[in-house]
Amino acid sequence: MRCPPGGTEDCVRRVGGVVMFCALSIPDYRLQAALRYRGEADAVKPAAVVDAGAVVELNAAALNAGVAPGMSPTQALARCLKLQILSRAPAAEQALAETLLGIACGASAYAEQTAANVCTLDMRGLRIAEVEAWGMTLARRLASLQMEARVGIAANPDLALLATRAAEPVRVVADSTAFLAGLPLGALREEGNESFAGIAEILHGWGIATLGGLSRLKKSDVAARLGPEGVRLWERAGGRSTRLLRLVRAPERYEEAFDFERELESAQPLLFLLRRFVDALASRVDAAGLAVAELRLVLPLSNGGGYERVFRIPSPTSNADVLFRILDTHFENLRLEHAPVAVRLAAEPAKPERRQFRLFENAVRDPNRFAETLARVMAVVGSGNVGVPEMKPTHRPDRFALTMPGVDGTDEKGGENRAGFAGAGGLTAQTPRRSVPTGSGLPLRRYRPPISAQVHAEHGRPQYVVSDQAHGVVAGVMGPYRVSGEWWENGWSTEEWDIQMAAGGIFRISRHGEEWQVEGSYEVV
Amino acid sequence: MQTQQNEANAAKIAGLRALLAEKFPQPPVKAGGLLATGLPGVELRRGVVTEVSGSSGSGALFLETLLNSVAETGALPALVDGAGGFDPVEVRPGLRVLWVLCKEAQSAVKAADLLLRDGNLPLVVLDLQMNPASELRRIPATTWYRFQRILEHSTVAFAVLTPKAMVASAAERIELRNRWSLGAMRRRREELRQQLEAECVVRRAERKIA
Repeated sequence: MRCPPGGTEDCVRRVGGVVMFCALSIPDYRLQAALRYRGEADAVKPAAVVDAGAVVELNAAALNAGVAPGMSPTQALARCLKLQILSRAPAAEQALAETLLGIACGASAYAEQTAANVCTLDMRGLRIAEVEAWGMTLARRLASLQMEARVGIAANPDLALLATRAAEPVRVVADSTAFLAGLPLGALREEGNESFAGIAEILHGWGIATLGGLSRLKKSDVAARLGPEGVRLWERAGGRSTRLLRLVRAPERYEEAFDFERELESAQPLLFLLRRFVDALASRVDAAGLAVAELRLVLPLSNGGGYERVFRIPSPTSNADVLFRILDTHFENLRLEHAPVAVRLAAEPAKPERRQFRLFENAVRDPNRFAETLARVMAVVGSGNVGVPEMKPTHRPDRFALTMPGVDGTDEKGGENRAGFAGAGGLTAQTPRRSVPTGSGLPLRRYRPPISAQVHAEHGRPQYVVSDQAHGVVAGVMGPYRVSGEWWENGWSTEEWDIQMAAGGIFRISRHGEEWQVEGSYEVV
Repeated sequence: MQTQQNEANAAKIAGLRALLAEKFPQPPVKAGGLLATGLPGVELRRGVVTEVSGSSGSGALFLETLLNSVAETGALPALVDGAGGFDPVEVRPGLRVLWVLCKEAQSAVKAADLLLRDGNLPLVVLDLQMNPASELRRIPATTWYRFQRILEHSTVAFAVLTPKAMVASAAERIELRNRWSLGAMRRRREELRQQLEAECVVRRAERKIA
C-alpha cells in the first residue's frame, strides 16, 4: 500500500482512521529457537527439531533431502546422513517469544500475543507514511536479532495472520477478496487444531483447494455439513471475522539462555553467544524506552555447581557494544574450575540516564568506559589494589579501605578492608603526640609490609640500626610518638621514631614490644 | 625495492594503528592547556609527558601537593604507585584520589598505559621513585614514546616521578633540587612547600603544523 504523491494525509487516515492490524509471525519457531545462537554454517546445514520421538519442524535443506515432519529420527537420518537432529530448547523458545513480544509492544501500544510465535498489533493511532516500509523495518529489526519473521498487514487480525502465510517477508492486503481467492486451504491450519486435517480432507474431496472456493459456499450449508469448526474456518476464509485483541504488556523479564550440547573448554564460543545475547537484550530494552542498568551472568558448570556474576552498569545504556565490552573484559581473566554447560544472561532495565554537563565539568565523561578501564587495571594489579582510599576510624597506622570510585563524585561503599581490620582504636594521651599527619614534616612513603630491623638503643633512644633499607649509625632522632588503642579488646601499642641516618636518609622506625620495624622513609639518599 | 619495502612497512604500521584505534578508541578532544600543581609557578602541560625527578622527600612533597590541589577542584586524579608506598593519610579528608597500588614498575607502566588510553581522568601520576634501579632499567625507552603518542590527542596531564632523569621523550622535565634533613620534620608542611625548589630544565615546544 503505497501512498500517492502528496497523499500522506490519505495514508494516515486509512491507517489511523480505519483500523488496521499487523501480524508478526516467526515460522518454524522451534527450529529457529534451536538454531538461533548457532553459527551461520550450522544454519544452512539440514536440520530438524525432534519432539516426542518425531520430527516436528525442519529447514529447507532437510526438506530437499527428503525428510518430512512426523518421521522418526532414524527415518530422517536414513534419508539424510548429515541431518542435525535438534532437541527442543524451551529456554530459547521462551526467549524468542519474549523478544517477539518486546518488539511488538515497542511498535504499538496495542499488542496481543496470539501464539508463542505470533503477535498481532492494532495499528490504531500510528502515523505511518508507507505501510509496507514500516512492516519491512519490523522484519529487519527481528532479522538483526537472528529471527526470520513474516509481517502481514490487513483490515482484521485473522486476515493479517493469513497475510503472513503469503508474506516474503511483508504482505499488505488491500483487496481481501483477491488475496484470499488464491490462498491454499493449508493457510488456515493452526497449531494444535486436530480437526482441521479431517475438514481439509472433506473439502479436498469436494474439489475445494483454496480459501476463495470455501468462502463461495453458503454458510448454512457449511454449518449443516461441517459443524461449528467448519463455520469458523468459513468465516476466516472469507476474511470477515473480527475480534478484539487480548492486549498484553511488554514482558519485564529480559533474559536469554542457551544449553550447550557439550561442555565448553574455551571462552570464544561463549563470547560469541554472549554477543548475540547482548544484542538481543539491548534491542528489547531499547524498544521499551529503557536502558540496561545491570547484567546478571549465570554459567551452570559441569560439576553441578554454577558461576554467577552481576555487572552493574555505571551509566545505564542500551549500547550493545558498551555492554559487551564489559563482559569481554571480565572473560579476559576468568578461569573456571569446571567447564560451563549452559549460559544465561539477564538484564535489569532502568530509565536511561540523562545528564547535562556543566561548563566546568568534573564528573567522569564516559562512566562505562572508565569502569571497563578500572576492570582492566584490576586485572593487571589485582582487584584489591585499586580504588579511592578511605581511612578507617582508628589511630592504628596504615589502616584504610579502598572503595570503587563512583561517576558522580561519590564512591561505592563497602570496599575491601585492605588491612583486614574492623575495630576502632584510640590515641592515648602520651607525650609527645604526633600532630595532624598532613600538617607538618615530609610525607611518608611506607614499606608494605614493614621491614624487620635490629636496633641498638641507649636509654631507650635508637643509636644503631641494621635492616635492608636503613643501616648504620643514627645521627638524629625525633620521638618517641606513642600510640595505642583497642584496650577493650586485643589492645595494641606502638612507639614510633623518626630517625636520620649518619650516611643520609630519614626513616620512620617503630617498636612493638621488643621487635623493631622500619615503617617507611621520608628521604632516601 | 627499498621503496616498496618502506611502503609495505608504512602500510603495516598504519594497519596496526587502525587496529589499536579500534580496540582503544580515543575521545575526539583537542590537546593543550595547563594544570595547576599547587606550587607557585609550576604547572603541568596537558597532552605531554612530564618527568619530575629529584630526591624521594621532594618527590613525595610534590606528589602530595599535586594530588590534593587537583582533587580540591572536584576532579579525580589518579596515582599509579610503582612500589605501593603512598600513605593515604596524605590525601586531605573529603578529597578523592584514585590509587593504584603496584608491586613492581612493569605492572605500574601497564596500569598507567590503560588509564592514559581511557582519557577520563584529568591527571595521571606514575610514581617510580621508590622502585629499584634494576626495575627502572628494564622499562623500554619505547614505552615513553608510546605514552607521548597516546597523550597527543588527549587533555590528560601526565607526570612521571623518577629518582633521576630517565624519560628521554619527556616534553617537560621538572627537577626538584632540595635535600632534606631531620629538621624538616619539625617544620609545617606549608613552609616546606614554599622551600621546594622546582626548576623546569627541559621544555620542548609544541610542534605546530598549521
